[in-house]
Amino acid sequence: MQTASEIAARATAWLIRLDRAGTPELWEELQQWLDSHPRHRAEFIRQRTAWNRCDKLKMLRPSDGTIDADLLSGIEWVEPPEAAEARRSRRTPVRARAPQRDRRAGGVDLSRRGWLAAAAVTGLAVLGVWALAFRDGWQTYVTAIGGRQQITLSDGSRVELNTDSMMRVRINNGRRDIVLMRGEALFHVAHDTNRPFFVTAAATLVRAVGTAFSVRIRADNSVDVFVTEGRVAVGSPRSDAANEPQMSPPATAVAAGEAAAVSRGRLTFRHLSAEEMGRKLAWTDPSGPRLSFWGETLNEVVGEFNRYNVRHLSIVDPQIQQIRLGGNFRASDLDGFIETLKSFHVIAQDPGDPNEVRLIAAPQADTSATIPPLEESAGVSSNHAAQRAGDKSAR
Amino acid sequence: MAKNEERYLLQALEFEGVLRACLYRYTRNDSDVEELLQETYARLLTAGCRDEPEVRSVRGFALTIARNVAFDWLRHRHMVPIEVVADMEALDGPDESEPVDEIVNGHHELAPLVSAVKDLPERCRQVFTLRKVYGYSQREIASRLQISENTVEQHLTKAARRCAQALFDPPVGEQQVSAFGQMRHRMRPHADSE
Repeated sequence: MQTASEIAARATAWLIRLDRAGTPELWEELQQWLDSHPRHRAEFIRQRTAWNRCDKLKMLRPSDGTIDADLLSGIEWVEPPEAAEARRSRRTPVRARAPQRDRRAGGVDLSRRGWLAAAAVTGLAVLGVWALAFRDGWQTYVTAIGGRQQITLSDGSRVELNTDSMMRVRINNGRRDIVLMRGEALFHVAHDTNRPFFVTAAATLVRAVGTAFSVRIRADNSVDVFVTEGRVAVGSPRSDAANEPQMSPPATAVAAGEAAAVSRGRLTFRHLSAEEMGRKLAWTDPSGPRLSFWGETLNEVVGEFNRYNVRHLSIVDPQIQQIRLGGNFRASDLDGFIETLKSFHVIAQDPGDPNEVRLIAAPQADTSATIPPLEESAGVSSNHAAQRAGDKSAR
Repeated sequence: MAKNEERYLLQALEFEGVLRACLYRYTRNDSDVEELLQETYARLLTAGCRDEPEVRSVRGFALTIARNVAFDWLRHRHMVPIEVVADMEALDGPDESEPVDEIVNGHHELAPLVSAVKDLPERCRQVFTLRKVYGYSQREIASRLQISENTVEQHLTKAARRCAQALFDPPVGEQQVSAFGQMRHRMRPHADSE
């Protein structure tokens, strides 16, 4: 019988050999090894999962196309003091059970240990922004789900980074480059005609000199731009200038009070009322991110709440997806939102998972919307759901 | 969801630290934990292949298997200390009702991963970066760095082990202590056997 570490070493060797070149003979040989003991297969699956998960590191690849084999050694994880404070003051049910950990203030070098401990304190929702400084001049900022962070850049521009967002910044003498990789940000650009301010988001490029505007990338890579002050140019980057994006003509001028939406290379442009603009930027509310709706479908509204909360809403009954609703909510106040839904005859079904909320149509006879016991709930068919429901009823 | 034979094992990987803590309670040393953990995973894999009703709670199931593995091991060594049996009662409680914080969410894995890679020797780190950040093939890396493909393979083998450890078994602070506090007494050095 081989020892665990011998098996582990063999499994790794297999993984990397196949990563190099998987010939049919090699696969055949691997199968024999895997079949010869369940521990072989189990260890191989474990390591294969880790190896594949490492592909997430591709996210850190600089967008300017440069190759740097020492890229990762130039990364520092830094948690700004405000973020640490925000994280400390956050209350979540998960955190209430987790041990408190006194953290050094500001500029903490997040070793793996420190980082994990920090993550442990807040459960999944690590708040605040994590900045990665690359030696090549790019800084990367990341916010977690439910996080929001104000960042002042070296040129004096201010950026507010919304929930679950990631942004790179590089500022030098000639220009200011931002790459929004995920999520949403509001920019207050410091006026500087000598250094144009470029924001790249998916296939969209926004050029500003001194204005205020927000940019959001949606899940389908379409991009929304809302301008609150001054004027920006919205277009696409020239394909031949990967290192320093340049606007490929024609660009569309978008002025204060206007919005541009770019989807599959097509730009649509419209005027927003002050009230509508306020709703679109409700997430920047100083008292905490808010969501403001005016006739959006439940489907859209649920999508918005899910951006801000680890506790995930899902719609079980298709007939309620298109219900239109309005209202003003704190983005973190899922319970308040669920309470409101009762007046739309939509109720939450407790699946027994603290991070999942399933929305169903309230039984018509009883509009006071009491939550039905799980045993009676219809439509729980997937393995996963059945398993969750089983968990609950077993307690 | 299609019935995937690997499903129990894959889910259990997300709380490997909990399983290790559970096993450590019985073995009191890390090399035996490695053995028993691998056996636990093997049994989870076998269980996933059997045509039986779906397990309701994979966490509870995996902990039960881990304890069975530990029992077999103790029995084999003619060691069934009373106090361990008594401790098990304590273990039964928290695993279901008390959620243990886990880091399973997307990009939050990046930090431990980046830390692990930063700690690798320079050449090893470069090879791994070119493979996993930039997506070069092993052959391309060899020609780019002017080293043999076998050397590339060796570097990646080392890096892969470290990354698996960083993702599934990171040295933790207190995150498991909330539920498993009394059984987590270890200060484990990096088990880097290569």
